[in-house]
Amino acid sequence: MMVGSGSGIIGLMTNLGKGMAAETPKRVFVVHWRGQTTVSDGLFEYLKQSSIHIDLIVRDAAQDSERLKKIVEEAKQLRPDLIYTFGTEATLGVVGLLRAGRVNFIDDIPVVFAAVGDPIASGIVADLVNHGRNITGVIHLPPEQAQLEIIKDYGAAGHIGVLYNSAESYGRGAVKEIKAVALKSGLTVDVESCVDENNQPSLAKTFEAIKKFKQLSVTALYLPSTSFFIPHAQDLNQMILDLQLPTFAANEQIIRRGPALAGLISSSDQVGRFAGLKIIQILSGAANIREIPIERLSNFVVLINRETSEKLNIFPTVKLLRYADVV
Amino acid sequence: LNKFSQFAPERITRRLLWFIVSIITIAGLSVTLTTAYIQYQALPQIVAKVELTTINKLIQQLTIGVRYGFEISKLREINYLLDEVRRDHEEIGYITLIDKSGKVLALSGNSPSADELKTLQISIDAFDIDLQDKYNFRNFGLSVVAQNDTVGQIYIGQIYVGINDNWILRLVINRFLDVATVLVVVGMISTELLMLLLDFSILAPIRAFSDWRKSTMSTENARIFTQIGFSDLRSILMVVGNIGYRNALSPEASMPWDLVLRYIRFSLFLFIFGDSICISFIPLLSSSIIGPEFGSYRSLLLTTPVAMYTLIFASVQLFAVSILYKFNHKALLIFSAILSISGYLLSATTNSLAPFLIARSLNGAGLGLAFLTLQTAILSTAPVNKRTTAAATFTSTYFLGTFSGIVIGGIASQEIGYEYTFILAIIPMAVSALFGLIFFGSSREIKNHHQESVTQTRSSALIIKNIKFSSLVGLCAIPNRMFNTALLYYLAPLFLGSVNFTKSEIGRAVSLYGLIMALFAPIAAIYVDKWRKHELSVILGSLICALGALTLVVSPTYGVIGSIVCMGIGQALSVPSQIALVPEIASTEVKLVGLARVMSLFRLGERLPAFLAPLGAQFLIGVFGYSGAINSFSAWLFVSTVLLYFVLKASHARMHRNP
Repeated sequence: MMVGSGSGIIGLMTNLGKGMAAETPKRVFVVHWRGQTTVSDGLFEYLKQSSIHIDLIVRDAAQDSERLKKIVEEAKQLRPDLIYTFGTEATLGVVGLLRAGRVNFIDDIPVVFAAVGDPIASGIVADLVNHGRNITGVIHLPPEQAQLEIIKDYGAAGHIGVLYNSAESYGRGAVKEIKAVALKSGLTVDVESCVDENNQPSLAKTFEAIKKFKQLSVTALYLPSTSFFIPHAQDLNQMILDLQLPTFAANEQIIRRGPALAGLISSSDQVGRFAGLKIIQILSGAANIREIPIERLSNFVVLINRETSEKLNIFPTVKLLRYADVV
Repeated sequence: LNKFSQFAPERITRRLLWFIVSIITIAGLSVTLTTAYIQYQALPQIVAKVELTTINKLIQQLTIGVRYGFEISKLREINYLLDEVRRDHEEIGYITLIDKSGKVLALSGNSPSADELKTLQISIDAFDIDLQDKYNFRNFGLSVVAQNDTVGQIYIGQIYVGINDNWILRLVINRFLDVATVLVVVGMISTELLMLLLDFSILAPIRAFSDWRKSTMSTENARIFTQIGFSDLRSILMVVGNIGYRNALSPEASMPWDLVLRYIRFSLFLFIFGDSICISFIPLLSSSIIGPEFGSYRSLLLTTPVAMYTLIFASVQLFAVSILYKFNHKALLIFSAILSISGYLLSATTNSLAPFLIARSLNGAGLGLAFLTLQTAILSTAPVNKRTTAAATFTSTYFLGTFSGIVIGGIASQEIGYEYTFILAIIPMAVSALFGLIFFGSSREIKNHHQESVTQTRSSALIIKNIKFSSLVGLCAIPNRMFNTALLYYLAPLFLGSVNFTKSEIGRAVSLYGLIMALFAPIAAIYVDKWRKHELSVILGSLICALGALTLVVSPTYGVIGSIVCMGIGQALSVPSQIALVPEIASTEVKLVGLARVMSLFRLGERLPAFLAPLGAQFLIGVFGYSGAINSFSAWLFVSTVLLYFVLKASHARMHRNP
């Protein structure tokens, strides 16, 4: 959804909420996976502007599955009007896989998620429109095909190395999509995982894979979205600059902090606001959650890191700059 | 009275007409040429002002990177931006970006060198651009300055732009030709109308008076005239006018045949004019209606609008004899107009394939019926010894209508769009029908009972057995018609459209055929008739038509126009001669089944396969490209013509042996 059209609906929702102002406040239970992000900032800002009186109950799992289970138990007891989850892990922890049993999860309270890369590959739903679950949400990542277009625009798509987190369902889905696109457009793609023998992502394995790509003389390194790389951005940055490897990423932080030259991203603020719109639609009774499709934004931003460009001596085309944000 | 009877009204009206037409032509040409000259002087400045906005936008885009802190020289594909602007603005001959040290950073087009550009004086203010006429361009330049948040304004260099002199010239010529064409067509219609008015108000009354005087001079009227006296001109004109008016109400019954012919001719002109308005753009319109969603069938479907029109037009000829004997000319012409107007209304309001095909079929049926009706009306109006003149009248009017319709259609579709052009075409059709309604009396074709005993099937079999007739159809008429339909209705519009000819340019190019036919065919017919060289004319004309495609070797684009011109010259020679040859080579069959039936079979044989022409053309485009497709049709015509030559030669040799 574009910013303009979203603003239009914001106004509508505000009017819808006015009649409910005097009613009991709605309680929204917020489940973060790795603390409050800019996505949640956008969401809270949007909810604040709404006329519906909303009480937020905020919990952070701090990337800990056990802690997440306790949060789910708490939510079951508190019986909020709606649960908001951030990220694939938090969402799966709350609603469970599509075919899993319902005992440890919640299926009788509406759940709105944000920042889930691929809800189908993650096993949350089977279809984005006719999902049939008490869930809806916002996908924060653009299609992988669009990411490859950016690499092509840099003239670096001859041989692409893809480094992903095979422990995450999103990473596996992304690789599948990239391979399909590469097959169609005749691109050469090599794939490596950053996961070690314990099925845990590791920095050592990551470095090993990057070196391997360098030996293979890949023309570009692409990093699909994973939260694992974010805390290690500085280390990755150093290595990539040493190897002079043109790197592209789907994650905003990886581009902003340096290792990646560029990538196509959704505006975190807009992802949060779009999730907020869906929450208001549900709380105001304007739509049934089962009929609200899971969507991604239709506008993305090309984010370019100028410093990395200078250091790698690889520069964007003027055509790309017309649509890009430069950091 | 004797003096009055020696008065030659035809000569006076003709002189008056020439005088009026000359004045209109001179005035029209003077105004158009003056306007064109003024435009040529003023246009570059106007165009440059428009381009200024485009170039400023380009500078904005070029400097985005610099605003973010990139060095402009390091950014990739700057040429792409320049090329993109030039792609959208064909008037721009070159764009060159030079950095502050004088080095060329990027260029697009055929730019003068950096040193040459430096000699240009750049001066632009809000109201005026100092265009420099140098190096075959109208040049101007702008400083490129970027705004950086930290550093402030950064001077990057200069951008130079050249407006193509040839483009300006082409635009002016196009506008001049558009206006001149409209003037010519308006002039032709006005001349026809003027002739009608003169005939109606001067020629017809005087002739009627003369006839009346001859028949009644010795009786009571002589006394009346003596009493009135010739000084009382007003009274005479009142009498004359009344007679003329009364005669004009049923012209085919009481007016001289050449005057009746004028009414039919005007009606024919308007009908063909209306029908031809969409000829040059139908293939282009079909491409927009039949989109990529039709997949692999698209290329085949693209041919169907032209094919349906041609097929239905030819199919009407199948029923020619029975239709003509059943209804009178007035009813047939009005019904034709209703069919064609319905077709145009449907074409103007639909954007889907099926209704569009129905619309084209309605137009094909309308034209087929009107063609039959007006041709037979003209031929049967003229006395037997004036049939050649009548046929020449039909041919020249038909092609003048085609020429006028195509050029006006090209201009109109460019100016007002396809939908309104269809609506515009309804007007001449409606006026044509109105003329038919007013001036056609109850004239119709009368069946000859002597020829009724031979059935249509038997007669067709009889005619086809005539080797010379079949050869004329199969080796001359069909390849000529197929080449004609493929080139004019399909290949030329599509090819010229693909090389960025404007719609009015396409219209003018395609209409050259009609113009040449209209001017050349009657003259050629006179001499061919005089020298009795019909066979030679058929062979020579077909060869000229076929060999016209050789011009494609010189230049594919102008070769298409060359092929159209050669087709016009060649078919002006061969088509009327083919028609003249038919009664000669099928004289026995004509005696048995009548000329109408023989001619109808000839027309049917010639026109029915023509619907395959666009299909064949589309197939050949796929295999050989546009030039190859035109060459294939011309090669077919060439080989057929050579074969026909030998068939006719063998036939003459046989005749010589067995006279």
